Amino acid sequence: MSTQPPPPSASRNIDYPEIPLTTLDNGLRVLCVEAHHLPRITILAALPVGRVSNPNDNFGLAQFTLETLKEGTKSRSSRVIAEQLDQLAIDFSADTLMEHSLLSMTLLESNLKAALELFADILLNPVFPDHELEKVKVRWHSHLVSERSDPGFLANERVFQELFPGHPYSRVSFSLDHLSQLDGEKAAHFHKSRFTCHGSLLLLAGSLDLEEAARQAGVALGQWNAGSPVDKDFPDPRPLQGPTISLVHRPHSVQTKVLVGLRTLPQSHPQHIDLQVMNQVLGGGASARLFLNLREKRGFTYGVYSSIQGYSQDGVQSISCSVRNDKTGETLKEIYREMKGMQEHPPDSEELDRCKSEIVGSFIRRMETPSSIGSLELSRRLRQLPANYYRDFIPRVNSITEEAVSETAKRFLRPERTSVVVVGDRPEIEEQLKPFGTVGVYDTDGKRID
Amino acid sequence: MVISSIPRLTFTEHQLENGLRVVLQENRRTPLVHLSLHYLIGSSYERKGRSGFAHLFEHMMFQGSKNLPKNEHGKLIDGAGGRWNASTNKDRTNYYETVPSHYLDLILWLEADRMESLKVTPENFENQRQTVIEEKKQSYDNRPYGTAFLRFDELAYENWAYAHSVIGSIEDLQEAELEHAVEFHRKYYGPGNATLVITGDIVQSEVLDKIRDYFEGISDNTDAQQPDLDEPQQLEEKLESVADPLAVLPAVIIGYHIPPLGSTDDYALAMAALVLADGDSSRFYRRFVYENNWIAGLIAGSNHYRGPQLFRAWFQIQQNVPPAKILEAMEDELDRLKESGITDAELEKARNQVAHRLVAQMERVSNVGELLAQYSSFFDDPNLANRQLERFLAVSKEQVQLAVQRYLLRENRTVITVEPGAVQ
Repeated sequence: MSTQPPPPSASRNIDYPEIPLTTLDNGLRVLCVEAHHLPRITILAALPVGRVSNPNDNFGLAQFTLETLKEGTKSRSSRVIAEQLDQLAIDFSADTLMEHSLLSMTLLESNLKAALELFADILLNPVFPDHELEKVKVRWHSHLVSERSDPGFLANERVFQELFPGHPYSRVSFSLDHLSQLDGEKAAHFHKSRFTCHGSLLLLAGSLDLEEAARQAGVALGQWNAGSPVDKDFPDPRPLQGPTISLVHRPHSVQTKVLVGLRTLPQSHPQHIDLQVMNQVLGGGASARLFLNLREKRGFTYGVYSSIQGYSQDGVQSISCSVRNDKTGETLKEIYREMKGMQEHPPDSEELDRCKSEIVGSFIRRMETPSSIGSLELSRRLRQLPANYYRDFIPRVNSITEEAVSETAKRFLRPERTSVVVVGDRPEIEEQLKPFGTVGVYDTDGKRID
Repeated sequence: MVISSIPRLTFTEHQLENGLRVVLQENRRTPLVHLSLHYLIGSSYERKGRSGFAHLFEHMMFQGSKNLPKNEHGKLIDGAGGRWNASTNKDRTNYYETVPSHYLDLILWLEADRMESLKVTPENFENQRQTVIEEKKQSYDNRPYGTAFLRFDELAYENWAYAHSVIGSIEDLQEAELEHAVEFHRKYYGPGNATLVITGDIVQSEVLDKIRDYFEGISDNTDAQQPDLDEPQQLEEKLESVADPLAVLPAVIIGYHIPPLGSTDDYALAMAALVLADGDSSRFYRRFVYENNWIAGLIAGSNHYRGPQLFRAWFQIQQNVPPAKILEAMEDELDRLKESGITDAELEKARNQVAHRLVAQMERVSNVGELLAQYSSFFDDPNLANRQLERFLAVSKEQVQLAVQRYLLRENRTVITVEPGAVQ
């Protein structure tokens, strides 16, 4: 066997497929990704209703409305719906994201007709019965209480409040007070005004073709209210006057969660791909600079990663790790050093090529299943990315230069765009934070205590 | 109507002269190839005083070989656009990569290289010891209920092989030595103790030649002793209470001793778990959540060990509901099942759920690879992957009832109650 790694053979091309779309009479856009190798189909509706769509006096309404759709319809009780979902072996999920909601079912092909009928009934005809919703609220109460024991949740909640003060993007969760005010009437009203075809997309992915998808969708969802455009929910976020440093005191923590958040760019921005490559170099994986330093050199943490999220008006880069309590300050120092290093030491061609390949490889793996291809296409349309965005994705990633990465780092990896949050046992870590600036201290309920 | 057949996996099996078992499965739909390499070495093979070593050693496999320095393994796969990792459980350690298919040679070379030679410095050994200690904190010690989960097998199993945790004790990790790693590599990390599975965009005949080129020259010096996993019959209920300052809600974890993975009763109990705890219409969910709001979350099913397993149930309990009430109501539900069995509708529902899951498992070459690797390395029969549905469908209502009657008994169970101390 050679002592040198072997070179690659000739590569097979991979093309982002044409994904046909048809529009029903009520305006609902239906997409289909056809793949017949397995008898399985995903139904996914994406609605332009997210956490940002909540009214200012209740940050839980959008999520409550979406997740209680299955608590009863005009013709089915909560119990009957639960029974049918399980009997048809449907994987059902409902997720409220920052700017969108997703409602999905995955099922065996033979159950498509029954599943789509149930899907439409849940989406179109919910009755939000208060006797069921009261039970849901008891469960949500426990959920809201127990998420406050999770350091990852606490860090994320704090960082979004620091990055987008007062803006709807700051809403990661909602309060017990908001929960107590939710009821069936509010959900029904929100559903009627916001859960419409307008701006929504329906994906059918798996063992069926567009014609079949359009026919079945027409039968099931042809009566869905067309709706009309809704005024934009919120203003553009104001520039951040950072850096901010927060400590969330979580007693008995044996490790410290460190999260450094940075304001970046909306995903539709032409330079967003530069940002993806820059992020990959800094902390996108186990060969990235942060990981090689904080784990492989220093052994402070099990893992450290940087990731990016894009929204319609802005974006966030998050550098995150859990570290030894006594290394909290040193970890922050090293993260800052790596951020600066990105500006002063651009990647060489080997490092850059590796990082581009990681992004391209991850994209290729998403081409493996019809539902993940469909999700990409849905997200492209929801974020209003250009039609050729994914078709040209691989060459565009490969065109990013060393200079572009260092320019992107200079633009974004700056202290004034940064919010630092640490979650841990205050007496163990507070002193270590002092050299970095004034520290705001919060309890696990999110209240400022110092 | 229950689906009675799902697409079959077509594969070939081979064995090299040095003992390496090989399974090849062609699926050229996407230009991706997955490699899964299972070594039969998990924490159950460890001896007392060396807990956590199998997992710590897994980290060493990325720390350098004769031909590559530390971390180069991952960098090369990242440079190919691949995904890689490894995991250790009680029964085995697996290493895997998914790469664009024109990089197949690279991953074969990389796995052969570290199977043949390990080269770790004292500095790198120390670095990974610290990393693993942080992994333990992140995954267990700093997480609500984490300590109770680590404690559970210690209490339930009498045999140390399964009783001690995969992550190990901090004391044992501190005592681990680099010399042990060299011996460990010789003993377990050779072709005779390994199964190599390649799935995806390959031409089977060509790949076998490549595998011979890369692996046939590696001599086998392993002498792995299969651990004694025998577990004495439990005759009395075991109870313990754990205080957890990180938890905000109480919880109860229950485990019953049941037969090994893949046994007839294992399939029957998997069907019982679906009826009892899977989905919003399951018996536990309906009574404990939907009707009474006693609990905030539940999970039930076997722990998927190759040897003697536990059928575990975990309930996160609402504030002000006494854990004893949950145990009592659970007993009541089990008594009902023992007396009257399950209904035709429940059996059909469970069968549908199984069929859907098995189809879902076939979507990605990585999942297919892991499935074939497990059946091949544990049972020497990858074709069991194709027999899963048949075996589930063969389970009758009576078998479910009999299995619950036989195993889900009070004297056969271990219970840990977690008492929260609010994080305030």
